[in-house]
Amino acid sequence: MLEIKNLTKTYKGGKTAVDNLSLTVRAGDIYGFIGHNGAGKTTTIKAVVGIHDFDKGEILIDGMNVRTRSLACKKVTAYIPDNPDIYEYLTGIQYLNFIADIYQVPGNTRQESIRREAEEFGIYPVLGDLVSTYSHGMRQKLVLIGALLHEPKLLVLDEPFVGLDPEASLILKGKMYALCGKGSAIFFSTHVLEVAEKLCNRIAVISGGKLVAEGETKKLTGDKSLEDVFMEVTHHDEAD
Amino acid sequence: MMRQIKLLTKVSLQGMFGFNEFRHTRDRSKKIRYCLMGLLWGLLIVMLAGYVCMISVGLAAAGIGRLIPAVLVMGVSLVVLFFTIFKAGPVLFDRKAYEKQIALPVNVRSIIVSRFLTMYITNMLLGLLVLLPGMAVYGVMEKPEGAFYFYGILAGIFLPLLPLTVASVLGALIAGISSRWRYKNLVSIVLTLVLVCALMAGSMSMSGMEESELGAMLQQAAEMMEEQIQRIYPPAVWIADAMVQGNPTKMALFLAVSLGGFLLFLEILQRFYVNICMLLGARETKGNYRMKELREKSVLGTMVERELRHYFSSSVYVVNTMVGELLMVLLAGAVLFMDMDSLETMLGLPGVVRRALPVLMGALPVMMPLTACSISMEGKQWWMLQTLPVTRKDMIQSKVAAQLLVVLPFYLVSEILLFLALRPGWADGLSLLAVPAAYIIFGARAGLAVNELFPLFDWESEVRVVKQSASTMVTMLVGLVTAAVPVVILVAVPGASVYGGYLALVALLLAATWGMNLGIGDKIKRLS
Repeated sequence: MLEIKNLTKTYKGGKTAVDNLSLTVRAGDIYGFIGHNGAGKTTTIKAVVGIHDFDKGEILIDGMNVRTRSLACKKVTAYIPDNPDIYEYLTGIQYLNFIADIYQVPGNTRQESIRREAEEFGIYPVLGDLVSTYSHGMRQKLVLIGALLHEPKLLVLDEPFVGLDPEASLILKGKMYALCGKGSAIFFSTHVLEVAEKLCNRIAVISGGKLVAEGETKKLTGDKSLEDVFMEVTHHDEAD
Repeated sequence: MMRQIKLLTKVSLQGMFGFNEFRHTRDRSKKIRYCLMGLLWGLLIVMLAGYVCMISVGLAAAGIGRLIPAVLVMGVSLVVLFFTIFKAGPVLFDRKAYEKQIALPVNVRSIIVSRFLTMYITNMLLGLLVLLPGMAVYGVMEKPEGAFYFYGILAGIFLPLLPLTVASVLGALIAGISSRWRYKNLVSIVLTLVLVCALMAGSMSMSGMEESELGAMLQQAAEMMEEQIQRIYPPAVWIADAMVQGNPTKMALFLAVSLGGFLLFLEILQRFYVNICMLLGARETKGNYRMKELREKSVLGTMVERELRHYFSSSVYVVNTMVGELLMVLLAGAVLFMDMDSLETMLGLPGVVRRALPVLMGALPVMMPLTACSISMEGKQWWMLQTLPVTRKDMIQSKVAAQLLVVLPFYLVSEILLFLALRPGWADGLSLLAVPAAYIIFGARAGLAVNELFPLFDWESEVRVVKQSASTMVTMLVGLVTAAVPVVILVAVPGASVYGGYLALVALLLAATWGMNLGIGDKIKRLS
């Protein structure tokens, strides 16, 4: 579903944020992307969803090149950033209706879907209020509901559990499993290694912009914890 | 407290005009952009100095050089008042900055003073930029004593205090009144626009009197001008007396009134400041939503609706970009209710209005279209348009359509007023309809093209985007040039066919719009 081939991104000023990175996320995968602060996770994610351009390499979503078929790629993708900066001048329902219009979700489907998801996340009563009155967690939930509206083939999340209450985290994990069960793929970054270890069937570790470990979670960790593996591969990389 | 004020002002000034970013960015293209902006500012400063020198030389040559200080002081004060009314409220009561600052161990007085100082410093520079060239001309032509320069510099430093205080009082009143309403933004927008209209009407009638008086006997006119300035703004005459006659009492009076006014305002405002900020920040929540039928819209339709909601959610954005449209209606109203000679005298444009009215009508809304900062206004939410499945064409069309929808009612009202006033034949009628329409379409697209070239996303306050960004400044310059060139040609070549000129102008404007749609803007961006 997502193929990143030899991705390289250098920022103006000379810093190489991502260096020749390649990975593949298949349909049905919950793929965890972990690394230190500044390792290149968000840069990679932003290149996938079309926020950043990149210098070298290729990114394919559902077999389509993000550079040449950008619009088609975006139609099958949903992105949730680490900081839910969304249109504060809209009410929650206006925001969701806007997203539904953009993705051309049929009227009856969107109504039912919004009601169901909003009730589940516990923000249904406040959908008529302005987004500017929402807390960080409520905004995060609103973005999540918007992202799930068109049942994306690829869901990309940057630190999705930050700001969510324990119940919402549990619901989100359930949603992720359900989406993958329908044949979609999920690619997400996180610092919470316990979550990644339990949730993901595949994991990639990035350090200094380079992929330092990648594979099925069970094979990667073996009899160690993900935390031990992470410290090992990232420090080994730094020692080199 | 002085330390707190100094620190808060410093942080605020660092964000202004992007000085700090210019100092620390490693992005070469950003540095080049800032340098180009610096050059543009330099050009504007030279133009301003040249304009001030011309006026001063003109007054001195006419034998009324003694009026130079009073005229300049009055001009600066009006400009400061006019331009800070738009931003005094939003700067003083900036809710986001307030939430950050109030959590720090600083007192309310320091917060207010630091915000006032931020505006004060920029206005003081403007005042000095006007006064210094005028003083130089006065110095050369009138040979004053040393005290003139001393009082002149002192006046330049303290000149913005009084108009800025008045603008802040009005800004505080608007903020205070609108904070108590449910639709705060709407009330604030309406109150500010009413105030701006009143100011514009007032300043137009004042300039008319000056022009007509200048045409009369000069010495008599000088006395009348002095009287008029004395009546409208006595501090200008106090400063002028201090500078020309070396009168320290008048300077002391000016300083006492300015400082006294400011301190009184500060004393009163600090009692209500926290309440106003809290009320402005308060948003009503109902928490009782019930699902209603959700209507489907096209991608373009939903994007235009979002643009309009965004636009009307920000009073700074609306007030600053709607001035051109308001002026268009005012001009059309003036054509209906005044005779052409009086109107031209009032505007100081003899022979221009009757010769190039369609161009003037079109040029006004082009000076500051909402598209000039509509990309920058996306700010931290820009990621949404980047990641949603919408094309660049959708984005351009939605932003341009929003501008056209905002201008449309003003355009229609203006046209009705003009048709009632002039009862034109078919050729004049067509010119009155087509030329402003072509300008409006061109202005909407040109503003967006300029904003694509000079986007600014990492801002903290909307004032920085709407009033201080490169994009709005360059758009204004583009509007000025596209209006001034045809007006100058039409007036300078009286034998030229006016209809031929209009036809060529409409064709050029539409061709330029078409060119921008073809992606010339993109190519320029890649080149730069």
